[in-house]
Amino acid sequence: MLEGLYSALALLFSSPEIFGVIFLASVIGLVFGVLPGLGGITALAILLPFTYGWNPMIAMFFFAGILGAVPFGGSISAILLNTPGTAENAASCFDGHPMVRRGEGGKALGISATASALGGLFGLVLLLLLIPVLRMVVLAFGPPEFLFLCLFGLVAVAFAARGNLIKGLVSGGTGILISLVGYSNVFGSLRFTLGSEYLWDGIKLVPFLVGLLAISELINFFVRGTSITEIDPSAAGGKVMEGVKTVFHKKVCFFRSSAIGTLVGMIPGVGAAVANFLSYTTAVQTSRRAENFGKGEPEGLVASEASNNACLSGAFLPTIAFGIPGSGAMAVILGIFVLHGLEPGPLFLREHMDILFAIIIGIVLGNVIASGFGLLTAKYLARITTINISYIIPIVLILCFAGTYAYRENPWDVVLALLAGILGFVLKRNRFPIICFVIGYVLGVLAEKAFHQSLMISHGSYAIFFTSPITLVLIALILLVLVFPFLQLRRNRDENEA
Amino acid sequence: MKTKPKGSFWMTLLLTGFVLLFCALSLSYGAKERLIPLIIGFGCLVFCTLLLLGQKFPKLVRSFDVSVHDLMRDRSTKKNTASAVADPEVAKKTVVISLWALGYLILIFLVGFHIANPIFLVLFLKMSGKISWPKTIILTAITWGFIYGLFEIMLKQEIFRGILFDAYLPPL
Repeated sequence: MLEGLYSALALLFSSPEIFGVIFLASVIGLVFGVLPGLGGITALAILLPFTYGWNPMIAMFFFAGILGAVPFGGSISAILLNTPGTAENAASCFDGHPMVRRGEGGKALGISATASALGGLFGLVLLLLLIPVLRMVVLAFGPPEFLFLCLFGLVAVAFAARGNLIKGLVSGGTGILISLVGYSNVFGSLRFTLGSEYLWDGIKLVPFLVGLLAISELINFFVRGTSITEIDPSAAGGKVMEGVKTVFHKKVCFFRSSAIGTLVGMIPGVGAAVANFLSYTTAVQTSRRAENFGKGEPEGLVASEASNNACLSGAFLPTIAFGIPGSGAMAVILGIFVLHGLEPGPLFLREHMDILFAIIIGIVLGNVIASGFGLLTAKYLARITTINISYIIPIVLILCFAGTYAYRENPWDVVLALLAGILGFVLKRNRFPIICFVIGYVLGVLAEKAFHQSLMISHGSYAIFFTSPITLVLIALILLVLVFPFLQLRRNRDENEA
Repeated sequence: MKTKPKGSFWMTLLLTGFVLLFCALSLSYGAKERLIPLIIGFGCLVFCTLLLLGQKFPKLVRSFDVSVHDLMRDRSTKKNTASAVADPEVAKKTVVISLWALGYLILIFLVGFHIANPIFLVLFLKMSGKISWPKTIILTAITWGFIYGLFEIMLKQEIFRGILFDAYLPPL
């Protein structure tokens, strides 16, 4: 295993231009992350063809550098604009944006940069320790376990999201239904296409997310009709070092969130969005200042940022070891492997450990460079929040539409993005949590596939869902999440009465 | 008696209709193909019904009306959902921005990004943002240059040219 690490490090230090490649990748990742709606998948997809013919190791450094930088870029827009670039930054909005609104934008960015960089480093260290047992862990998750993991993710998100539980579950369920539109690989047939050829491919991820998360926020900006904050720019941009120190003061939260991020990242299909919310929820439930969460509590931001960066390292493992993408971005990474003649699978870990370490190092360096750049420029980045939104709305809308079109050069995707944007705004306006909708949409097809695979394995017996210890634990966790609010509510009532 | 969030009611009704459509379509598929859509659809319908009934009988859904954020505070101090009421000003602004985006979209389809972008920017900045001419021109030039440079020079990707310029429009 260590030979692979030496090999990757040797290439890195013997070729200084690779640092340049990673730096370039970090800047690209940061820009794509900052621009609402673009994010890692679009960056990877757009740049994929340009690396054809590159040395696979260098290509991996490059793409990993982008992926490492995107979460921090996304957190900048999540914190400053309340618009998560990607779903995995969504929890950063809860406490990051309220901090900006009370004049602590610099501190929030400082927390985000530090937690991002250290979270990525933590993920690397944990990964190195876990690689020997990796295969056992991932193999223990068959289709039934995977199904319940998806359900747990959905319920946890519905519980964690702002709004209420029922609305969260309705959002999640509707997201699942939307994910079922189009050609089904399980059945080899078309469903819910209403005769539309465009819908044969289903509702595509990039336009849907761009609309739901970015365009809906632009509509919200317009409706609010002012700048994001009217706080003095110097006040918004200060206290960066205070933010750095805050992460070190929240050690327990940081380590717990990073561990959750790395471990959840290893589970195929779940990804950073669930890790993000799981860490956030755990932080809420264990914090002594739980009542401050959602109002600008630094601990919430630490939990969110540490987990989504640590998750990246973990998410690569199922992709590489089993060819199972842990997320949309990992699906693009699989395409990059194919382009460079690499075949993911168990053999990969034996023969291409150098590639794995190139990826891990690329992520960490991308993370560190992006976070360092973010720290250096935090004061200036914070000024974005004071810009008149009349400048922001048309420019971001143009980028959203152009990015959506660039994804697969289909102009109807732009129409879908706009419709999703209006839907997202209306949902948000009526307190239906959008993030549940997104998670349902992402997990829907995977969960259905796992469900039918389970039944195929058991020859149609539903007992398969209740026989494995892992599924039983997951069912218990789902019930706990569903029942916990009522228990807590009762406790609060009792306390109030007392 | 609290004010009922009318917007939320209509949104729930819309989602109910959407889920019903999925359920109805599912019935025409095979037993396995319709299983998950029907299970999820049924669950959604139950929750939607609860939400709809909750408008009339708030006590019915009050015990479900919790999230992790609401747990930590006294329910009596919890904000009511009056903010969800779609007041006329919000509805008007939503329609206005949607029309701007729709207009921009139609321009893209007709004349493509490179022509639609500056037209949309100038019109939006002047008419909606009331931005001065110098700023409008500078911002439009920078944005147009960025998009042009990104697609035509850096990515060498032909961006949509518009149906008036014989661009290919895939079937819907």
